[in-house]
Amino acid sequence: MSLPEFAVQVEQLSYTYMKGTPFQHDALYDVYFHARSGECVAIIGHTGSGKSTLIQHLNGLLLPQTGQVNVLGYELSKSKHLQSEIRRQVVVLFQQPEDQLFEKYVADDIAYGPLQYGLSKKEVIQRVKHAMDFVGLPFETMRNRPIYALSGGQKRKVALAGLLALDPRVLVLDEPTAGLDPMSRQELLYKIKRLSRDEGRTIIFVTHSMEEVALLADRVYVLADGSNVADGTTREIFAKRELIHRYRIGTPQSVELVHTLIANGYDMNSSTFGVEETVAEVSKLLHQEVG
Amino acid sequence: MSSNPGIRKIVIAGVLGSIAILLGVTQLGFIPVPTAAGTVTIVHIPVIVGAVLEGWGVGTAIGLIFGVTSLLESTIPLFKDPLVAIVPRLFIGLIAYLIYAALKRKNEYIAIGAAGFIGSITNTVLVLTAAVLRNYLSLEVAVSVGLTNGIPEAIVSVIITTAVVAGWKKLTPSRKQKAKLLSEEVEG
Amino acid sequence: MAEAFDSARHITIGQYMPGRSLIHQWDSRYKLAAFTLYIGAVAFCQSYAGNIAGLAISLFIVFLARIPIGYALKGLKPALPFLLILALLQLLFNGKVYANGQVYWQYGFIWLTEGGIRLVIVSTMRFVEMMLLVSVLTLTTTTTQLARAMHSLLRPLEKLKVPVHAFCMMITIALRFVPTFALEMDKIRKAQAARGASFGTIPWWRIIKRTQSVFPLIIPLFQLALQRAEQLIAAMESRGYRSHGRTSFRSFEARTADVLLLFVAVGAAYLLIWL
Repeated sequence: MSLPEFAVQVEQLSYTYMKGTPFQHDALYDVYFHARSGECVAIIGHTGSGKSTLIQHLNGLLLPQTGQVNVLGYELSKSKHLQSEIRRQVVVLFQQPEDQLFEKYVADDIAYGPLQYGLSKKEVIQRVKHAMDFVGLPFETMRNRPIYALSGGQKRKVALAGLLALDPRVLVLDEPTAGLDPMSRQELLYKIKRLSRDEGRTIIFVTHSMEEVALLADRVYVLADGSNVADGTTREIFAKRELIHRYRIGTPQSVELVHTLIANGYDMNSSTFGVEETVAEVSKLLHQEVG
Repeated sequence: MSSNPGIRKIVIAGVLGSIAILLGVTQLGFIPVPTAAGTVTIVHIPVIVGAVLEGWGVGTAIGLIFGVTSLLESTIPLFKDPLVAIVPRLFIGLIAYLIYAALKRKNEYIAIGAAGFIGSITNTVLVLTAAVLRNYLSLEVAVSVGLTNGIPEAIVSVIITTAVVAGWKKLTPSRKQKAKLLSEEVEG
Repeated sequence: MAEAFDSARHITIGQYMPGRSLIHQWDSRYKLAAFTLYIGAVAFCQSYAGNIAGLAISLFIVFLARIPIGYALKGLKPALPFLLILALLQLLFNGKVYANGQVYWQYGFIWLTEGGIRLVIVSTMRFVEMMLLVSVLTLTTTTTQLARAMHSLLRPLEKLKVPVHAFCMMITIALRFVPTFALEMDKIRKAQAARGASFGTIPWWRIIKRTQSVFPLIIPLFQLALQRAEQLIAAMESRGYRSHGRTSFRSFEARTADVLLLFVAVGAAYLLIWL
């Protein structure tokens, strides 16, 4: 089966929690969102902007109250019986995933998902091996380790491996690096990049960190108060200075530097972003000044 | 036991009591099965875990919470009687702890499992006994329910209690060192 | 973030229905004592007369508390099938106990006796009474009031070296954490569902699979609970928590009406036992 052009298409999605009760809360209003197959899309926004609600629609944990959610060609509200199939192809890594590990040994927890889908033991072992090696927990040495003996970062790798073992087309990650030390963060981001660039999986991730967006994302969606505020390529979004300040999203240091220089009258390309690019542009500037 | 149990016991009892309430109030505590009683319960497990971790006082206290929740939330008329809902549950903690303490020196892992098993059986036996004594059930009915429900419940209890307590205390069984996945020959 | 409460809204340990009825305003210490006594009496009442009186009194209490009778009886609906099955079983199989009384019919194990019939009717009445009483108590008293009432009533036991304060602290902690753990349970359920765990879709006859599907939910829940416990212990210890010599922000004061009502309740209980 060939890949559809759009892995995820969300149109006019609205969702209200506890509808009809005095605690009613509009989480999403008329939201749209698209991710092409193989793309890496970031979702940014403040707490309460509706990010988590949107994410839960992507694999059918929540069904749209109004609007359409189309995932890998399946129209979500209609295909209730395909729910488990969708969950195999679109996996979600929630925040603090290390809390959800329940088996005793590493290999068993990772194998849980594939086994639930009825794969043969031989195949499951293959998948577990592949997943473990990918995340950086070598199968040969780590498979029989008791999970309680692992560090937080390692446990998170186990959780991720558990999802990878399902061989999903789409990975949705909710603040995947939250709470990790800088080195583990870098490692994880690098792995996510590999999943996107090398393995061609569609990646959708939620983050507060613009550095991560700059590093990984092809396109960005900005949400606030349950609605779309802006979307575009990463470059486009970073160039929109007023937007960034209005929603106090914060920018990577490199972009801040560029904007400050422009504000002080230096002639620079305002859509510069990324460390290497910024260094190149600033070097050019310096040469001009000196020469 | 002094009149001032340490903070540890109070908090553990409170937290596990909270789980007991939660399990009793939502359907998580009851696994529907096609047997006489209709469900296999796991609500008694926090009682056993509390007893093993912090002693019989804690176990009894959680048992009380379990009993009262059962009294308040159950739809089965059987459990509206305090003598059936509360009194038997007070003993789960005590017995589970005794079993655990007795076997602990030999092999802690097995001690936990045994506590889980016997604790569950205690719940089944004492509750059914109370029901018979209060004339809600006849002896024959009670025995059949006890066997068809009690055994599966006890097995589930062992699995969960061991997983939780051994995991928390970071124990490993002396024999098993391998993941289940890899413990058999790979099929060709 | 109201989204978090989506499932937690179903968790109500005995709902509280605000009101200004006599029962609502009854000092919760006396109320708790009175109810406990009365419920105890009901539990032991075996006669027709006693139970009819009991039922009448219970209904009267519901009326006093200004609770719509339909609402109080709502809890009966789900119990109906069980009631019927239980009644049938009792009628057929427990009759043997009363074989020395009047026997109407007998066949093998099945004895239809006068005592058996009385048992069934009395049990059912008792059940209804209990339901009404417990409902009224929880509907008219908030959990805070109940907790404080319990603490107050049990205090004299401290002289016997019973750890009353510890017990009440435990109850407070337990109640306080219920919504928290409900939220966590929700999170865990979603995370596990997102990786292939199947809840509620397993056919009823696959007992083993159904039982196994509970593990990925319950085990992380316990682990989480124990982690929170450790955090709380550390926090309490570092703030110098001591169980003696603690003071409260609000205090109780009893009025004559409160005490009078207690005597009325005692009277009612006595009546029941006597009948």
